[in-house]
Amino acid sequence: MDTKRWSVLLILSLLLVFACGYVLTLGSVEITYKEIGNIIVHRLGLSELHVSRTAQIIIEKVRFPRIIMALLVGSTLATAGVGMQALFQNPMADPYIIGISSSASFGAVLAFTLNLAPGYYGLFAFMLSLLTASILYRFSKIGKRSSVTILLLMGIGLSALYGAITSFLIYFAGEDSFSVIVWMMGYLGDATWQKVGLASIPIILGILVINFFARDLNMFLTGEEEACYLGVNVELTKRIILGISTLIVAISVAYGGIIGFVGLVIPHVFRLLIGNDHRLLIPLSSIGGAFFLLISDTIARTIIAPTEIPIGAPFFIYLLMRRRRVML
Amino acid sequence: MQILKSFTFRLVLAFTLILYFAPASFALESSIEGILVDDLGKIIEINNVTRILSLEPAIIEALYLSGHFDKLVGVAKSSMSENWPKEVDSVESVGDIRNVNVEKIVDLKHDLIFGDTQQAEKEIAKLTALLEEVRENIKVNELKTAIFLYNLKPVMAFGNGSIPDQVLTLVGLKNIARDIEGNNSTFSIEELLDLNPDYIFFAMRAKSGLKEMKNNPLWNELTAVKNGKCLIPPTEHVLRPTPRLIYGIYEINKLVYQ
Repeated sequence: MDTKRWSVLLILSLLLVFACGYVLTLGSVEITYKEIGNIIVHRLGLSELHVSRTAQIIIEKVRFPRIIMALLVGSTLATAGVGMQALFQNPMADPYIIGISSSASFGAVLAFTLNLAPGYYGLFAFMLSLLTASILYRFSKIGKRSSVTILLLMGIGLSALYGAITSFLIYFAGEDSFSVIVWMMGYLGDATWQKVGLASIPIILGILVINFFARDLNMFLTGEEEACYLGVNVELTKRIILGISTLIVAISVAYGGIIGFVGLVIPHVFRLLIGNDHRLLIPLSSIGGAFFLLISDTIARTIIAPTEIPIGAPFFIYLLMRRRRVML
Repeated sequence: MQILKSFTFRLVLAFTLILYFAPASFALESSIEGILVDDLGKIIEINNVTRILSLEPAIIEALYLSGHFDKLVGVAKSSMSENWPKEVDSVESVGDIRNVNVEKIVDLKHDLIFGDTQQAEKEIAKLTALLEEVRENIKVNELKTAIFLYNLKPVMAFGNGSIPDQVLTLVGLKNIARDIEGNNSTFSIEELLDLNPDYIFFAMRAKSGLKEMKNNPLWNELTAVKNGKCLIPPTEHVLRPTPRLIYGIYEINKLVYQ
Protein backbone atom coordinates (compact mmCIF):
# COMPACT_ATOMS: atom_id res chain seq x y z
CA MET A 1 0.00 0.00 0.00
CA ASP A 2 2.61 2.48 1.07
CA THR A 3 4.98 2.11 -1.88
CA LYS A 4 2.07 2.17 -4.28
CA ARG A 5 0.76 5.31 -2.62
CA TRP A 6 4.07 7.12 -2.83
CA SER A 7 4.70 6.11 -6.41
CA VAL A 8 1.27 7.39 -7.52
CA LEU A 9 1.88 10.70 -5.75
CA LEU A 10 5.39 10.97 -7.19
CA ILE A 11 4.22 10.35 -10.74
CA LEU A 12 1.44 12.91 -10.41
CA SER A 13 3.83 15.50 -8.94
CA LEU A 14 6.28 14.98 -11.79
CA LEU A 15 3.47 15.36 -14.31
CA LEU A 16 2.51 18.58 -12.57
CA VAL A 17 6.04 19.97 -12.88
CA PHE A 18 6.14 19.12 -16.59
CA ALA A 19 2.74 20.70 -17.08
CA CYS A 20 4.00 23.89 -15.43
CA GLY A 21 6.95 23.97 -17.81
CA TYR A 22 4.72 23.48 -20.81
CA VAL A 23 2.17 26.05 -19.66
CA LEU A 24 4.94 28.64 -19.24
CA THR A 25 5.37 28.70 -23.02
CA LEU A 26 1.69 29.41 -23.64
CA GLY A 27 0.30 32.92 -23.81
CA SER A 28 -0.54 35.67 -26.21
CA VAL A 29 3.13 36.54 -26.68
CA GLU A 30 5.18 33.65 -28.06
CA ILE A 31 8.12 32.58 -25.90
CA THR A 32 10.05 29.39 -26.62
CA TYR A 33 11.43 26.71 -24.23
CA LYS A 34 14.92 27.87 -25.14
CA GLU A 35 14.17 31.43 -24.04
CA ILE A 36 12.52 30.24 -20.82
CA GLY A 37 15.52 28.01 -20.12
CA ASN A 38 17.80 30.97 -20.66
CA ILE A 39 15.79 33.13 -18.26
CA ILE A 40 15.89 30.47 -15.53
CA VAL A 41 19.60 29.77 -15.99
CA HIS A 42 20.26 33.50 -15.93
CA ARG A 43 18.31 33.83 -12.67
CA LEU A 44 20.51 31.13 -11.18
CA GLY A 45 23.48 33.26 -12.15
CA LEU A 46 24.91 30.73 -14.59
CA SER A 47 24.72 32.54 -17.90
CA GLU A 48 24.17 35.78 -19.74
CA LEU A 49 20.66 36.88 -20.66
CA HIS A 50 19.95 36.53 -24.40
CA VAL A 51 16.20 37.17 -24.49
CA SER A 52 14.35 40.46 -24.82
CA ARG A 53 13.45 42.44 -21.73
CA THR A 54 9.74 42.03 -22.55
CA ALA A 55 10.01 38.24 -22.67
CA GLN A 56 11.87 38.27 -19.36
CA ILE A 57 9.20 40.42 -17.70
CA ILE A 58 6.38 38.30 -19.09
CA ILE A 59 7.91 35.08 -17.82
CA GLU A 60 9.15 36.36 -14.49
CA LYS A 61 6.44 38.80 -13.51
CA VAL A 62 3.31 37.63 -15.35
CA ARG A 63 3.27 33.90 -16.08
CA PHE A 64 5.39 32.46 -13.26
CA PRO A 65 3.57 34.07 -10.32
CA ARG A 66 0.20 33.42 -11.93
CA ILE A 67 0.98 29.74 -12.41
CA ILE A 68 2.19 29.36 -8.83
CA MET A 69 -0.93 31.15 -7.59
CA ALA A 70 -3.15 28.83 -9.65
CA LEU A 71 -1.40 25.81 -8.08
CA LEU A 72 -1.80 27.21 -4.57
CA VAL A 73 -5.46 28.16 -4.98
CA GLY A 74 -6.43 24.93 -6.77
CA SER A 75 -4.69 22.83 -4.17
CA THR A 76 -6.29 24.77 -1.32
CA LEU A 77 -9.81 24.42 -2.68
CA ALA A 78 -9.57 20.70 -3.39
CA THR A 79 -7.92 19.90 -0.04
CA ALA A 80 -10.39 21.96 1.95
CA GLY A 81 -13.16 20.35 -0.12
CA VAL A 82 -12.16 16.82 0.93
CA GLY A 83 -11.84 17.95 4.53
CA MET A 84 -15.29 19.53 4.60
CA GLN A 85 -16.94 16.58 2.86
CA ALA A 86 -15.50 14.17 5.38
CA LEU A 87 -16.23 16.38 8.35
CA PHE A 88 -19.85 17.00 7.40
CA GLN A 89 -20.25 13.46 6.00
CA ASN A 90 -21.96 15.17 3.11
CA PRO A 91 -20.93 14.81 -0.53
CA MET A 92 -22.40 18.23 -1.36
CA ALA A 93 -20.13 20.06 1.08
CA ASP A 94 -17.62 22.34 -0.60
CA PRO A 95 -14.87 24.61 0.72
CA TYR A 96 -17.22 27.58 0.69
CA ILE A 97 -19.83 25.79 2.75
CA ILE A 98 -19.75 27.89 5.87
CA GLY A 99 -20.77 31.07 4.12
CA ILE A 100 -17.38 31.89 2.63
CA SER A 101 -18.39 32.42 -0.99
CA SER A 102 -21.35 34.64 -0.18
CA SER A 103 -19.49 36.67 2.44
CA ALA A 104 -16.51 37.01 0.08
CA SER A 105 -18.78 38.25 -2.72
CA PHE A 106 -20.44 40.59 -0.29
CA GLY A 107 -17.05 41.95 0.83
CA ALA A 108 -15.85 42.47 -2.74
CA VAL A 109 -19.05 44.18 -3.82
CA LEU A 110 -18.93 46.34 -0.70
CA ALA A 111 -15.41 47.51 -1.59
CA PHE A 112 -16.62 48.10 -5.14
CA THR A 113 -19.62 50.14 -3.96
CA LEU A 114 -17.38 52.24 -1.74
CA ASN A 115 -15.42 52.98 -4.93
CA LEU A 116 -12.19 51.50 -3.56
CA ALA A 117 -9.41 50.32 -5.86
CA PRO A 118 -9.68 46.71 -7.12
CA GLY A 119 -6.89 45.72 -4.71
CA TYR A 120 -9.34 46.09 -1.85
CA TYR A 121 -11.84 43.54 -3.20
CA GLY A 122 -9.70 40.66 -2.00
CA LEU A 123 -8.94 42.26 1.36
CA PHE A 124 -12.62 42.90 2.10
CA ALA A 125 -13.52 39.41 0.92
CA PHE A 126 -10.89 37.87 3.20
CA MET A 127 -11.96 39.81 6.28
CA LEU A 128 -15.67 39.19 5.81
CA SER A 129 -15.14 35.47 5.19
CA LEU A 130 -13.21 35.09 8.42
CA LEU A 131 -15.73 37.19 10.32
CA THR A 132 -18.68 35.16 9.04
CA ALA A 133 -17.00 31.84 9.68
CA SER A 134 -16.14 32.80 13.25
CA ILE A 135 -19.67 34.05 13.93
CA LEU A 136 -21.13 30.83 12.53
CA TYR A 137 -18.78 28.65 14.51
CA ARG A 138 -19.49 30.54 17.69
CA PHE A 139 -23.27 30.28 17.36
CA SER A 140 -23.28 26.63 16.36
CA LYS A 141 -22.01 25.61 19.78
CA ILE A 142 -24.34 23.78 22.11
CA GLY A 143 -22.59 23.51 25.43
CA LYS A 144 -19.11 22.28 24.62
CA ARG A 145 -20.01 20.52 21.39
CA SER A 146 -20.55 22.21 18.07
CA SER A 147 -23.55 21.08 16.07
CA VAL A 148 -22.91 20.45 12.40
CA THR A 149 -26.59 20.82 11.55
CA ILE A 150 -26.87 24.25 13.13
CA LEU A 151 -23.61 25.27 11.50
CA LEU A 152 -24.84 24.29 8.03
CA LEU A 153 -28.31 25.80 8.45
CA MET A 154 -26.92 29.06 9.77
CA GLY A 155 -24.45 29.08 6.90
CA ILE A 156 -27.29 28.73 4.40
CA GLY A 157 -29.30 31.45 6.16
CA LEU A 158 -26.44 33.92 6.25
CA SER A 159 -25.56 33.10 2.63
CA ALA A 160 -29.08 33.96 1.56
CA LEU A 161 -28.93 37.25 3.43
CA TYR A 162 -25.53 38.20 1.98
CA GLY A 163 -26.62 37.07 -1.48
CA ALA A 164 -29.64 39.34 -1.38
CA ILE A 165 -27.60 42.36 -0.28
CA THR A 166 -24.95 41.59 -2.91
CA SER A 167 -27.47 41.36 -5.74
CA PHE A 168 -29.06 44.57 -4.54
CA LEU A 169 -25.72 46.40 -4.48
CA ILE A 170 -24.74 45.11 -7.93
CA TYR A 171 -28.12 46.18 -9.32
CA PHE A 172 -27.51 49.71 -8.12
CA ALA A 173 -23.80 49.73 -8.87
CA GLY A 174 -24.30 51.59 -12.11
CA GLU A 175 -22.99 51.07 -15.58
CA ASP A 176 -19.77 49.20 -14.85
CA SER A 177 -20.69 46.48 -12.38
CA PHE A 178 -19.01 43.99 -14.75
CA SER A 179 -15.70 44.82 -13.12
CA VAL A 180 -16.68 43.27 -9.78
CA ILE A 181 -18.64 40.45 -11.43
CA VAL A 182 -15.50 39.39 -13.27
CA TRP A 183 -13.68 39.34 -9.94
CA MET A 184 -16.41 37.19 -8.41
CA MET A 185 -16.12 34.69 -11.24
CA GLY A 186 -12.56 34.02 -10.18
CA TYR A 187 -9.56 35.91 -11.38
CA LEU A 188 -5.90 34.99 -10.94
CA GLY A 189 -4.56 37.69 -13.22
CA ASP A 190 -2.95 39.98 -10.70
CA ALA A 191 -0.72 37.49 -8.97
CA THR A 192 2.65 38.97 -8.04
CA TRP A 193 5.62 37.38 -6.28
CA GLN A 194 4.76 39.40 -3.19
CA LYS A 195 1.25 37.93 -3.11
CA VAL A 196 2.54 34.43 -3.82
CA GLY A 197 4.96 34.86 -0.92
CA LEU A 198 2.24 36.01 1.44
CA ALA A 199 -0.19 33.27 0.43
CA SER A 200 2.16 30.31 0.13
CA ILE A 201 3.31 29.83 3.74
CA PRO A 202 -0.13 29.54 5.41
CA ILE A 203 -1.56 27.61 2.46
CA ILE A 204 1.20 25.02 2.30
CA LEU A 205 1.21 24.57 6.08
CA GLY A 206 -2.58 24.30 6.10
CA ILE A 207 -2.62 21.67 3.37
CA LEU A 208 0.03 19.65 5.19
CA VAL A 209 -1.95 19.77 8.45
CA ILE A 210 -5.14 18.59 6.74
CA ASN A 211 -3.16 15.75 5.15
CA PHE A 212 -1.90 14.86 8.61
CA PHE A 213 -5.49 14.31 9.78
CA ALA A 214 -6.25 11.77 7.02
CA ARG A 215 -6.50 8.83 9.44
CA ASP A 216 -8.94 10.70 11.69
CA LEU A 217 -11.07 11.75 8.75
CA ASN A 218 -11.30 8.09 7.71
CA MET A 219 -12.88 7.41 11.11
CA PHE A 220 -15.32 10.30 10.59
CA LEU A 221 -16.82 8.41 7.65
CA THR A 222 -18.47 6.02 10.10
CA GLY A 223 -20.09 8.91 11.98
CA GLU A 224 -18.97 11.29 14.70
CA GLU A 225 -19.97 9.03 17.56
CA GLU A 226 -18.16 6.00 16.14
CA ALA A 227 -15.11 8.12 15.48
CA CYS A 228 -15.18 9.09 19.14
CA TYR A 229 -15.29 5.41 20.21
CA LEU A 230 -12.41 4.70 17.86
CA GLY A 231 -10.29 7.16 19.81
CA VAL A 232 -10.55 10.32 17.69
CA ASN A 233 -10.75 13.61 19.54
CA VAL A 234 -13.82 14.66 17.55
CA GLU A 235 -14.17 18.24 18.81
CA LEU A 236 -10.50 19.04 18.36
CA THR A 237 -10.35 17.51 14.88
CA LYS A 238 -13.47 19.36 13.82
CA ARG A 239 -12.13 22.65 15.14
CA ILE A 240 -8.72 22.24 13.49
CA ILE A 241 -10.03 21.10 10.09
CA LEU A 242 -12.73 23.77 10.02
CA GLY A 243 -10.43 26.54 11.24
CA ILE A 244 -7.59 25.73 8.88
CA SER A 245 -9.85 25.14 5.87
CA THR A 246 -11.63 28.42 6.46
CA LEU A 247 -8.36 30.31 6.79
CA ILE A 248 -6.72 28.93 3.68
CA VAL A 249 -9.89 29.17 1.59
CA ALA A 250 -10.31 32.79 2.70
CA ILE A 251 -6.72 33.46 1.62
CA SER A 252 -7.33 31.83 -1.75
CA VAL A 253 -10.49 33.89 -2.17
CA ALA A 254 -8.52 37.05 -1.42
CA TYR A 255 -6.07 36.33 -4.23
CA GLY A 256 -8.15 34.36 -6.72
CA GLY A 257 -11.76 35.44 -6.29
CA ILE A 258 -14.47 32.83 -5.99
CA ILE A 259 -13.58 29.76 -7.99
CA GLY A 260 -16.31 27.18 -7.83
CA PHE A 261 -16.33 23.58 -9.00
CA VAL A 262 -12.71 22.67 -8.11
CA GLY A 263 -13.34 22.21 -4.39
CA LEU A 264 -16.55 20.29 -4.86
CA VAL A 265 -15.70 18.06 -7.78
CA ILE A 266 -11.99 17.25 -7.66
CA PRO A 267 -12.37 15.25 -4.41
CA HIS A 268 -15.29 13.36 -5.95
CA VAL A 269 -13.35 12.57 -9.09
CA PHE A 270 -10.61 10.94 -7.03
CA ARG A 271 -13.14 9.29 -4.73
CA LEU A 272 -14.71 7.68 -7.78
CA LEU A 273 -11.28 6.61 -9.03
CA ILE A 274 -9.54 5.35 -5.90
CA GLY A 275 -12.14 5.06 -3.18
CA ASN A 276 -12.58 6.61 0.21
CA ASP A 277 -9.20 6.20 1.93
CA HIS A 278 -8.25 9.72 2.95
CA ARG A 279 -4.58 8.82 3.32
CA LEU A 280 -4.46 8.71 -0.45
CA LEU A 281 -7.52 10.80 -1.26
CA ILE A 282 -6.32 13.99 0.43
CA PRO A 283 -2.84 14.22 -1.13
CA LEU A 284 -4.23 13.21 -4.52
CA SER A 285 -6.88 15.92 -4.28
CA SER A 286 -4.23 18.47 -3.25
CA ILE A 287 -2.19 17.72 -6.37
CA GLY A 288 -5.22 17.14 -8.58
CA GLY A 289 -6.80 20.45 -7.60
CA ALA A 290 -3.57 22.26 -8.42
CA PHE A 291 -3.40 20.44 -11.75
CA PHE A 292 -6.98 21.19 -12.61
CA LEU A 293 -6.83 24.90 -11.84
CA LEU A 294 -3.50 25.19 -13.66
CA ILE A 295 -5.10 23.81 -16.82
CA SER A 296 -8.32 25.79 -16.56
CA ASP A 297 -6.48 29.01 -15.78
CA THR A 298 -4.16 28.44 -18.74
CA ILE A 299 -7.16 28.03 -21.00
CA ALA A 300 -8.75 31.13 -19.50
CA ARG A 301 -5.45 32.96 -19.90
CA THR A 302 -4.86 31.96 -23.51
CA ILE A 303 -8.29 32.01 -25.07
CA ILE A 304 -9.62 34.46 -22.49
CA ALA A 305 -12.91 33.10 -21.27
CA PRO A 306 -14.11 31.66 -17.98
CA THR A 307 -13.83 27.99 -18.83
CA GLU A 308 -13.51 25.99 -15.62
CA ILE A 309 -16.79 24.16 -15.86
CA PRO A 310 -16.68 23.23 -19.56
CA ILE A 311 -13.56 21.11 -19.12
CA GLY A 312 -14.24 19.50 -15.79
CA ALA A 313 -17.94 18.85 -15.97
CA PRO A 314 -18.12 16.32 -18.83
CA PHE A 315 -15.40 14.19 -17.26
CA PHE A 316 -17.13 14.29 -13.90
CA ILE A 317 -20.47 13.29 -15.40
CA TYR A 318 -18.77 10.44 -17.26
CA LEU A 319 -17.32 9.14 -13.99
CA LEU A 320 -20.70 9.35 -12.29
CA MET A 321 -22.38 7.41 -15.11
CA ARG A 322 -19.73 4.74 -14.91
CA ARG A 323 -20.22 4.42 -11.17
CA ARG A 324 -23.98 4.23 -11.66
CA ARG A 325 -23.58 1.34 -14.08
CA VAL A 326 -21.42 -0.51 -11.54
CA MET A 327 -24.07 -0.01 -8.86
CA LEU A 328 -26.85 -1.30 -11.15
CA MET B 1 -50.95 64.19 -33.74
CA GLN B 2 -53.77 61.81 -32.92
CA ILE B 3 -51.39 58.95 -32.73
CA LEU B 4 -49.22 60.61 -30.06
CA LYS B 5 -52.11 60.62 -27.63
CA SER B 6 -52.53 56.89 -27.48
CA PHE B 7 -51.11 55.28 -24.38
CA THR B 8 -49.59 52.35 -26.21
CA PHE B 9 -47.77 54.63 -28.57
CA ARG B 10 -46.16 56.47 -25.67
CA LEU B 11 -44.98 53.24 -24.19
CA VAL B 12 -43.59 52.08 -27.51
CA LEU B 13 -41.98 55.47 -27.99
CA ALA B 14 -40.38 55.30 -24.57
CA PHE B 15 -38.73 52.01 -25.45
CA THR B 16 -37.81 53.03 -28.96
CA LEU B 17 -36.15 56.07 -27.46
CA ILE B 18 -34.00 53.85 -25.29
CA LEU B 19 -33.12 51.63 -28.22
CA TYR B 20 -32.54 54.32 -30.77
CA PHE B 21 -30.76 56.99 -28.89
CA ALA B 22 -28.25 54.80 -27.17
CA PRO B 23 -26.16 54.20 -30.28
CA ALA B 24 -26.01 57.85 -31.24
CA SER B 25 -29.39 58.29 -32.94
CA PHE B 26 -28.34 56.86 -36.29
CA ALA B 27 -31.46 54.75 -36.32
CA LEU B 28 -33.80 57.53 -37.34
CA GLU B 29 -33.79 58.37 -41.01
CA SER B 30 -35.61 61.04 -42.89
CA SER B 31 -35.92 62.10 -46.48
CA ILE B 32 -39.02 64.26 -46.26
CA GLU B 33 -39.01 67.17 -43.84
CA GLY B 34 -41.09 66.54 -40.76
CA ILE B 35 -41.28 62.80 -41.29
CA LEU B 36 -39.01 60.19 -39.73
CA VAL B 37 -38.90 56.50 -40.44
CA ASP B 38 -37.59 54.30 -37.66
CA ASP B 39 -35.94 50.90 -37.90
CA LEU B 40 -39.23 49.08 -37.61
CA GLY B 41 -40.47 50.93 -40.67
CA LYS B 42 -42.87 53.04 -38.60
CA ILE B 43 -43.52 56.56 -39.82
CA ILE B 44 -43.24 59.22 -37.14
CA GLU B 45 -44.62 62.69 -37.81
CA ILE B 46 -42.66 65.28 -35.93
CA ASN B 47 -44.33 68.66 -36.23
CA ASN B 48 -45.36 70.72 -33.18
CA VAL B 49 -43.56 68.56 -30.70
CA THR B 50 -42.95 70.48 -27.48
CA ARG B 51 -42.26 67.92 -24.78
CA ILE B 52 -39.10 65.85 -25.07
CA LEU B 53 -37.88 63.00 -22.97
CA SER B 54 -34.24 61.95 -23.21
CA LEU B 55 -33.02 58.63 -21.90
CA GLU B 56 -29.44 59.19 -23.03
CA PRO B 57 -27.01 61.82 -21.66
CA ALA B 58 -25.58 62.45 -25.12
CA ILE B 59 -28.99 63.46 -26.47
CA ILE B 60 -29.43 65.88 -23.57
CA GLU B 61 -26.16 67.54 -24.55
CA ALA B 62 -27.08 67.71 -28.22
CA LEU B 63 -30.43 69.28 -27.36
CA TYR B 64 -28.69 71.82 -25.14
CA LEU B 65 -26.19 72.78 -27.81
CA SER B 66 -28.90 73.09 -30.47
CA GLY B 67 -31.04 75.30 -28.25
CA HIS B 68 -33.89 72.97 -27.38
CA PHE B 69 -33.06 72.30 -23.77
CA ASP B 70 -36.14 74.09 -22.41
CA LYS B 71 -38.39 71.54 -24.10
CA LEU B 72 -36.96 68.68 -22.05
CA VAL B 73 -39.53 67.37 -19.59
CA GLY B 74 -37.70 64.30 -18.36
CA VAL B 75 -34.23 62.79 -18.40
CA ALA B 76 -32.47 59.57 -17.49
CA LYS B 77 -29.07 60.34 -16.04
CA SER B 78 -25.79 58.54 -15.84
CA SER B 79 -25.03 57.37 -12.33
CA MET B 80 -21.32 56.92 -12.95
CA SER B 81 -20.28 60.06 -14.74
CA GLU B 82 -21.08 63.74 -14.68
CA ASN B 83 -24.27 64.91 -16.35
CA TRP B 84 -23.95 68.04 -18.45
CA PRO B 85 -25.12 70.81 -18.49
CA LYS B 86 -25.77 71.56 -14.81
CA GLU B 87 -29.36 72.58 -15.62
CA VAL B 88 -30.12 68.88 -16.08
CA ASP B 89 -30.51 68.66 -12.32
CA SER B 90 -33.66 70.79 -12.46
CA VAL B 91 -35.33 68.54 -15.05
CA GLU B 92 -37.49 65.70 -13.76
CA SER B 93 -35.53 62.46 -13.53
CA VAL B 94 -36.95 59.16 -14.73
CA GLY B 95 -34.15 57.08 -13.26
CA ASP B 96 -30.64 56.32 -14.41
CA ILE B 97 -29.76 55.15 -17.88
CA ARG B 98 -29.82 51.48 -17.00
CA ASN B 99 -32.91 51.60 -14.81
CA VAL B 100 -35.66 53.75 -16.16
CA ASN B 101 -39.01 54.04 -14.46
CA VAL B 102 -41.61 53.30 -17.13
CA GLU B 103 -44.52 54.66 -15.06
CA LYS B 104 -42.83 58.02 -14.73
CA ILE B 105 -42.07 58.09 -18.44
CA VAL B 106 -45.71 57.57 -19.31
CA ASP B 107 -46.74 60.16 -16.74
CA LEU B 108 -44.61 62.88 -18.35
CA LYS B 109 -46.77 63.03 -21.53
CA HIS B 110 -43.84 63.65 -23.85
CA ASP B 111 -43.80 64.16 -27.62
CA LEU B 112 -40.73 64.04 -29.76
CA ILE B 113 -38.92 66.84 -31.47
CA PHE B 114 -36.52 67.68 -34.22
CA GLY B 115 -36.86 71.23 -35.41
CA ASP B 116 -35.02 74.46 -35.97
CA THR B 117 -31.46 73.84 -37.08
CA GLN B 118 -29.99 77.33 -37.21
CA GLN B 119 -28.15 77.22 -33.89
CA ALA B 120 -27.07 73.64 -34.54
CA GLU B 121 -25.40 74.71 -37.79
CA LYS B 122 -23.39 77.40 -36.03
CA GLU B 123 -22.16 74.83 -33.55
CA ILE B 124 -21.25 72.44 -36.36
CA ALA B 125 -19.14 75.08 -38.12
CA LYS B 126 -17.23 75.77 -34.91
CA LEU B 127 -16.53 72.08 -34.30
CA THR B 128 -15.46 71.47 -37.90
CA ALA B 129 -12.88 74.23 -37.56
CA LEU B 130 -11.56 72.62 -34.37
CA LEU B 131 -11.22 69.24 -36.08
CA GLU B 132 -9.36 70.89 -38.95
CA GLU B 133 -6.87 72.35 -36.48
CA VAL B 134 -6.44 68.94 -34.88
CA ARG B 135 -5.72 67.34 -38.23
CA GLU B 136 -2.97 69.86 -38.95
CA ASN B 137 -1.24 69.07 -35.65
CA ILE B 138 -0.90 65.36 -36.29
CA LYS B 139 2.55 64.30 -37.36
CA VAL B 140 1.59 61.50 -39.73
CA ASN B 141 5.10 60.10 -40.03
CA GLU B 142 5.62 59.67 -36.31
CA LEU B 143 2.25 58.50 -35.05
CA LYS B 144 2.26 57.72 -31.35
CA THR B 145 0.54 54.65 -29.94
CA ALA B 146 -2.04 54.45 -27.19
CA ILE B 147 -4.49 52.18 -25.44
CA PHE B 148 -7.74 53.10 -23.76
CA LEU B 149 -8.50 51.00 -20.68
CA TYR B 150 -11.80 50.85 -18.87
CA ASN B 151 -11.01 48.10 -16.41
CA LEU B 152 -7.78 46.87 -14.81
CA LYS B 153 -8.63 43.47 -13.36
CA PRO B 154 -8.75 42.00 -15.88
CA VAL B 155 -7.33 44.54 -18.28
CA MET B 156 -10.11 45.58 -20.63
CA ALA B 157 -9.66 48.02 -23.48
CA PHE B 158 -11.83 49.78 -26.02
CA GLY B 159 -11.40 48.03 -29.34
CA ASN B 160 -12.16 48.62 -32.98
CA GLY B 161 -15.24 50.70 -33.71
CA SER B 162 -15.87 51.91 -30.18
CA ILE B 163 -16.25 55.64 -29.59
CA PRO B 164 -12.95 55.96 -27.67
CA ASP B 165 -11.22 54.12 -30.53
CA GLN B 166 -12.57 56.71 -32.98
CA VAL B 167 -11.49 59.49 -30.61
CA LEU B 168 -7.93 58.10 -30.51
CA THR B 169 -7.84 57.85 -34.29
CA LEU B 170 -9.04 61.43 -34.73
CA VAL B 171 -6.52 62.62 -32.16
CA GLY B 172 -3.82 61.00 -34.24
CA LEU B 173 -2.97 58.10 -31.93
CA LYS B 174 -2.73 54.50 -33.04
CA ASN B 175 -4.94 52.29 -30.85
CA ILE B 176 -2.97 49.14 -30.06
CA ALA B 177 -6.20 47.40 -29.03
CA ARG B 178 -7.52 47.77 -32.59
CA ASP B 179 -7.71 43.99 -33.07
CA ILE B 180 -10.45 43.70 -30.48
CA GLU B 181 -13.88 44.01 -32.06
CA GLY B 182 -16.46 46.10 -30.19
CA ASN B 183 -15.87 47.42 -26.73
CA ASN B 184 -16.26 44.55 -24.32
CA SER B 185 -12.97 42.79 -24.51
CA THR B 186 -10.19 41.65 -22.33
CA PHE B 187 -6.71 42.66 -23.34
CA SER B 188 -3.80 40.43 -22.39
CA ILE B 189 -1.29 42.05 -20.06
CA GLU B 190 1.44 40.22 -21.97
CA GLU B 191 0.50 41.95 -25.17
CA LEU B 192 0.30 45.27 -23.35
CA LEU B 193 3.90 44.78 -22.19
CA ASP B 194 4.93 43.69 -25.65
CA LEU B 195 3.30 46.50 -27.63
CA ASN B 196 4.19 49.04 -24.94
CA PRO B 197 2.07 52.07 -25.94
CA ASP B 198 3.24 55.69 -25.58
CA TYR B 199 0.01 56.72 -23.86
CA ILE B 200 -2.45 54.94 -21.62
CA PHE B 201 -5.92 56.39 -21.16
CA PHE B 202 -8.22 55.45 -18.31
CA ALA B 203 -11.97 55.56 -18.03
CA MET B 204 -14.68 54.14 -15.82
CA ARG B 205 -13.44 51.62 -13.22
CA ALA B 206 -9.87 51.79 -14.42
CA LYS B 207 -9.66 55.28 -12.90
CA SER B 208 -9.90 54.07 -9.32
CA GLY B 209 -7.08 51.59 -9.94
CA LEU B 210 -4.61 54.11 -11.33
CA LYS B 211 -2.90 54.86 -8.02
CA GLU B 212 -2.56 51.20 -7.15
CA MET B 213 -1.14 50.54 -10.58
CA LYS B 214 1.60 53.11 -10.14
CA ASN B 215 2.90 51.09 -7.19
CA ASN B 216 2.72 47.82 -9.09
CA PRO B 217 6.18 46.63 -10.23
CA LEU B 218 4.72 45.02 -13.34
CA TRP B 219 2.93 48.11 -14.58
CA ASN B 220 6.01 50.16 -13.88
CA GLU B 221 7.71 48.31 -16.73
CA LEU B 222 5.42 50.14 -19.16
CA THR B 223 6.91 53.19 -20.85
CA ALA B 224 3.73 55.21 -20.46
CA VAL B 225 3.67 54.59 -16.70
CA LYS B 226 7.38 55.33 -16.35
CA ASN B 227 7.05 58.59 -18.28
CA GLY B 228 3.85 59.67 -16.55
CA LYS B 229 1.83 59.43 -19.77
CA CYS B 230 -1.27 58.03 -18.10
CA LEU B 231 -4.27 60.24 -18.76
CA ILE B 232 -7.78 60.34 -17.34
CA PRO B 233 -9.81 62.48 -19.73
CA PRO B 234 -13.28 63.61 -18.59
CA THR B 235 -15.96 61.09 -19.59
CA GLU B 236 -17.86 63.56 -21.78
CA HIS B 237 -14.70 64.20 -23.79
CA VAL B 238 -14.14 60.61 -24.86
CA LEU B 239 -17.06 58.32 -24.12
CA ARG B 240 -20.30 60.15 -24.71
CA PRO B 241 -21.33 60.60 -28.34
CA THR B 242 -22.05 64.33 -28.09
CA PRO B 243 -20.64 67.40 -29.84
CA ARG B 244 -18.42 67.93 -26.81
CA LEU B 245 -16.43 64.92 -27.95
CA ILE B 246 -14.72 67.26 -30.42
CA TYR B 247 -13.46 69.44 -27.57
CA GLY B 248 -12.03 66.32 -26.00
CA ILE B 249 -10.26 65.38 -29.23
CA TYR B 250 -8.91 68.93 -29.45
CA GLU B 251 -7.59 68.91 -25.87
CA ILE B 252 -5.94 65.48 -26.09
CA ASN B 253 -4.42 66.30 -29.47
CA LYS B 254 -2.88 69.47 -28.03
CA LEU B 255 -1.43 67.46 -25.15
CA VAL B 256 0.04 64.76 -27.36
CA TYR B 257 1.38 66.68 -30.33
CA GLN B 258 2.42 70.07 -28.93
